[in-house]
Amino acid sequence: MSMTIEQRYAELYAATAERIGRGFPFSVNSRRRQMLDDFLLCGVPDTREERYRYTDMRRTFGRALHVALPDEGHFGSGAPFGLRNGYCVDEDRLDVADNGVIIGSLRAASVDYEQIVLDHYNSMAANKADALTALNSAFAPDGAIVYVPDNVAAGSISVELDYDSRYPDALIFSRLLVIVGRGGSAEVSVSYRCREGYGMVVDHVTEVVAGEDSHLTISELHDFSDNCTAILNGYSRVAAAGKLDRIFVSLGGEALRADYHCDLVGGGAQGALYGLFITGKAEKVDIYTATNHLVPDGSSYQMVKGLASGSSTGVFSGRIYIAPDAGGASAEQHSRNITLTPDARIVTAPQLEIYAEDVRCSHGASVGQLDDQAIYYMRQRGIDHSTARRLQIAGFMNDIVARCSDEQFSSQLHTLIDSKIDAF
Amino acid sequence: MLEIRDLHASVEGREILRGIDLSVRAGEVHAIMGPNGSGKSTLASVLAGNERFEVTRGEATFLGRNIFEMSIEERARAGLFLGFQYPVEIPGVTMANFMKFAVNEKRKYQGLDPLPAGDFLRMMRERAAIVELDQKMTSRAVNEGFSGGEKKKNEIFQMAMLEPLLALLDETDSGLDIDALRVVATGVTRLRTPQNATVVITHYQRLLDYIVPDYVHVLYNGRIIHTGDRSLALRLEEQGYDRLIAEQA
Ligand SMILES: Nc1ncnc2c1ncn2[C@@H]1O[C@H](COP(=O)(O)OP(=O)(O)OP(=O)(O)O)[C@@H](O)[C@H]1O
Ligand SMILES: [Mg+2]
Repeated sequence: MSMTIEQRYAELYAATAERIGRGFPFSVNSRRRQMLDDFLLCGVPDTREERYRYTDMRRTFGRALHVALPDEGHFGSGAPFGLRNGYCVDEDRLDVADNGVIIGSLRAASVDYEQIVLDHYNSMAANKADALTALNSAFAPDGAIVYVPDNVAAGSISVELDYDSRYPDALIFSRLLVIVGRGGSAEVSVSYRCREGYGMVVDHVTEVVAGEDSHLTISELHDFSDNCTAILNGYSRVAAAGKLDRIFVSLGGEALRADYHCDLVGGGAQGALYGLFITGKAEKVDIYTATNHLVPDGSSYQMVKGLASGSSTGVFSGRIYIAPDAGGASAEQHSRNITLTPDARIVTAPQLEIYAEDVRCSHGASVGQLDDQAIYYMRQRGIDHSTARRLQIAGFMNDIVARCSDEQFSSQLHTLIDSKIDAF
Repeated sequence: MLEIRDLHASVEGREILRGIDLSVRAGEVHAIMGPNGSGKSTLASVLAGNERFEVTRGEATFLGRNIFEMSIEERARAGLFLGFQYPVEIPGVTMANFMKFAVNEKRKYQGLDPLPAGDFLRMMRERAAIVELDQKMTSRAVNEGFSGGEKKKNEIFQMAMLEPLLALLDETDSGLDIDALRVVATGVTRLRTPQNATVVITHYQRLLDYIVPDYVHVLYNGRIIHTGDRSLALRLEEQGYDRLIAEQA
């Protein structure tokens, strides 16, 4: 008798739980079983589920995948802090600065700073009824934590997430937890990178807690190779008067799925998302955002831009929910897209659920092509056709890319974007 | 500099230019007038190389070369400039960046190195001053959110940056207020040298008070039906086109 996909993961869990949980305190490990049950209950979503309409997860997880285990040589040493296949590169590294900022291994932090981890880890991811998030919570063998105490300005922090499993068809669970306390601030840059996927599947979960009056900026670069499927689920919570800016640039991958959930849970909370995805060849990028105004006077903003070439597909689904008692909310969403070839496709689907009165909500979506007249205009000034095209493409993307303030990160971004566009 | 013989051009199968003859020499100013829809912008577009139009007959040379064998950008680099009747917006591309590319492409064509940043900025400042264009405009996206008049000033600013040999100015005067018209027209005049030539397309003789033409041509129904001197513009202003058209018929 053949097993269901879910049963296979239940068996895998039984066989590997002890190794995966090694080094974590009981308080953390004891929750894993519950997460697995959540996963079994939800089941791997199929495309009938609205949230996963455009990406077939049953096909991805139905394949025979190899879970990356601790003793498979992920550790080494890296100067910049980061994870490799979900494991902290320097095993159990934990940098604690004089001002109390903690950056390092989630596993190590769960021992040394157990309460912080218990308070926040899975605090959002646990109750979202998403099977792939639950599966991650059951299996995550380590992860990265960034903790900024109250009233501390942490400045720039960078986290590198590398994926390079030596086994084909690897299934990698990776995890990032970012907490900024009341009145704190930080600018975190996160680079996801997979050079050669060999059929890899990455199941990554980010949880972000922005405290009262805090200001947190997280910039992400998704650089996954052709032969890799990545599922990035992000959950953020912004407290009263807190400000969270999330920026992402996605450079494709065989299939990339990125979710940005943001709950505004305190008065005056602000959540912004600035995104750009660029797809070529037969790549597929599926961006899903859910912004939840749960209390009055929150403000949210999304600007997500897509550029698709070849026979690639881009999807933007943007959900805005304004709860019945979240009056005074202001929500704005823009989806702007350009297809460069006749076979490229971009689907954009706003979804507004507004139950409160006295809200300001606006949204707009467009899918178009490069402007021939603008190219003609530039050529008339002596600029050749391909430069004119590139200038126009750069002009389309600039406002998003310019938001990444970290110099090193943004120069890396420019290089990668240029080489991606060059291939179009 | 520019020699046009029996030029025919059509758009979407419809013939718009129906036999144009025109020659422009260095140092000259030509004005082209004519009723709406007569083909003035089409002529300018065909010379610039707009791919929407198809040249079906005739020939044109620019600096002795067959213009139709040159790409749009080659014509531009060789010194042809079109001041657009409807300047195009390019979101996200700043004027400064746009001009940096344009100026350096032209320099490359002339065998010169790219202009150092400091020199380029100084040049932008100087040339913006010629048309009294607010220096701040150069850090804004090309034509985006510019007022009608600002767009026209911006065309002449670009002309000042690129120092063309042949400038075709398509209704650069329309949309300008009285003061701006004077500023822009004076700017164009200041850019004149014995080596370059200007073709202004206009509906108003007022512009010609500032940019004094050597020849005034009337384009009607795809043909130049009459050529005269400055006084022709004054006569047209008084009498309109109808009498002239009737006379020619
Ligand atoms: N892209 C196009 N597609 C279809 N018809 C066109 C196109 N461009 C020009 N035409 C037509 O060609 C004719 C000449 O247009 P053109 O713009 O050259 O006139 P014009 O003399 O510049 O007029 P105006 O004084 O109004 O600017 C018009 O009938 C116009 O509708
Ligand atoms: Mg016209």
